[in-house]
Amino acid sequence: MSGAESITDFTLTEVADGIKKKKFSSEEVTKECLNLVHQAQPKLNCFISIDAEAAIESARKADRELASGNKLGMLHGVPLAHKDMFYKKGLKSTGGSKIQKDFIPSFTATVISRLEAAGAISLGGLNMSEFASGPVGQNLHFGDCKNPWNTKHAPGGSSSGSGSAVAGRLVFGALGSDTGGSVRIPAALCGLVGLKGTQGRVSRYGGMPLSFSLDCFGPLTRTVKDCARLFSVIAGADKMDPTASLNDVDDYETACSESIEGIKIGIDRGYGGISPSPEVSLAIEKAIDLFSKLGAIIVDVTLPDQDELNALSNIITRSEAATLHKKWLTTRRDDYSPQVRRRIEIGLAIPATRYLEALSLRSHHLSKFNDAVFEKCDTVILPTVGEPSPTLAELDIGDSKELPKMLRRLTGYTRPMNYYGVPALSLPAGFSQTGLPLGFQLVGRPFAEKLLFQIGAAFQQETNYHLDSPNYL
Amino acid sequence: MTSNNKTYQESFLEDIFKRLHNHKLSKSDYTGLAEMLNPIEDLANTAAVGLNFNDEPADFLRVLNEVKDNGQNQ
Repeated sequence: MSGAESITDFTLTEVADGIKKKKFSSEEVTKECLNLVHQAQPKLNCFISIDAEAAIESARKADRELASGNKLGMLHGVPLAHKDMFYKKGLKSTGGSKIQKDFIPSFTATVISRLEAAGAISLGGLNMSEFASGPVGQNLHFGDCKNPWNTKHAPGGSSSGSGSAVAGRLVFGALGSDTGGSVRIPAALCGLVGLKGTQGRVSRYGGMPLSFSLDCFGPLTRTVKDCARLFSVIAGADKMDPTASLNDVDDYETACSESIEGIKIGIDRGYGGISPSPEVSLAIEKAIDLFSKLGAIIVDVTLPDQDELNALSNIITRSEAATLHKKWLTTRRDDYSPQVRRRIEIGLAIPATRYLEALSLRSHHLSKFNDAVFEKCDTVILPTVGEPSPTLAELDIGDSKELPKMLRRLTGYTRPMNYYGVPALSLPAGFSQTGLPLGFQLVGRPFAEKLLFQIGAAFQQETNYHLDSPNYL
Repeated sequence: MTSNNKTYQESFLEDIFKRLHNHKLSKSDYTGLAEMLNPIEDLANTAAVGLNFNDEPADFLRVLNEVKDNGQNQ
């Protein structure tokens, strides 16, 4: 185990092993986390609801099961919390919105059922961008969520609370959703690992939808191994979601200790036409050097134009979101924040032919991407966000004409991967001169999550960015 | 392209919202929507050139599995 000073300094896999070996009880761990949650909430505002009593009761039950020698799951007794959009029967799920603030679902999301079956404990619902729409982490209805590395800065969104809570050491991992980067962006801006899996690798049943063709649910954690464990639990076919893949789920955690010698990593120093800041560019060059020292082979590739892909991806997301929200856009228009309303409302003006064109072109662009990149390498490295986290004030632009520029700035590198449907793992890559985290993403072929975990874990074995913790209290 | 040649103009959006969605927005909303939609429309027009007669959305799942990682791609 690492030289942790407090239980909350342990990683997810360390704390799971510690509970299993009875080094500490689930109740102790849960109470320690809740204690920190109560201290941190006024500063970070990363929770929408805190279920302290239910969490402690679940922890006691987990301890009783351990004492009775019952078979234990991979997350037995481990406190987590999730973006407030994964349905749990009988519990409020706001979607970060005023419109759904009192919504109580009558069924439970598959991802939540699987985490519970593995023994995980939930501390509550995490803050998020309203209706999972927005890469910043602002929320007019529940208050802005803050970045633990500097509370004047954005945690990133839309899974803002997931990024903030895990980086703030309040929980050992969290689920988010990623339609255009909403897991990877907060992961990068908060110094965490975040995975958007292959389209269909994880069931979407019981998660609040934004875009049924592009939505992916995935974990945010401090380490790659933690991420692999969470992903192992939630991935796989689901009879409740016919779009979930029937392909077998790989052994992700074992891959975290395998060598990366001979693996080919591609880089496009033109970054598909979107230039990152010098700091992010340098962090990627350092990562490339390290991968090379570990025996990987670095190859040059040329990415397709990212702006075109962003446009196609936007057409799909906006059309599908507008379809889902059409009723409320007319009956409860003023209950949306202006920026979220603007981003959803544009879908009402996109013709069906344009939408179907964007969907029909997806296979064509995936083939083109495969030929351009994966004929030459196993994975490609590119920024997650091209800069460290901007301040919340700087991003407070509402629905002004600056909105498209801001969206390109934050989602330019992430959104195309949702369009391709390929997996992308964001990793902590160091810190800016001002002490804010930087990140990059490794993108693989469809269903190459195992390989991404293998490369990511090798990177973390040689770096210590994920061991630093923010001092926000 | 001058603003008059743009696909999405305020008056056009006002018509779409009124006729298709029975919905009336403010002038500044139509302006904001046009500013977001026009660049997307321009890029989509370029991308649409790649569309073939037989292409359909379901092809995506086939290609996703055709090009998937099998541990021996390299």
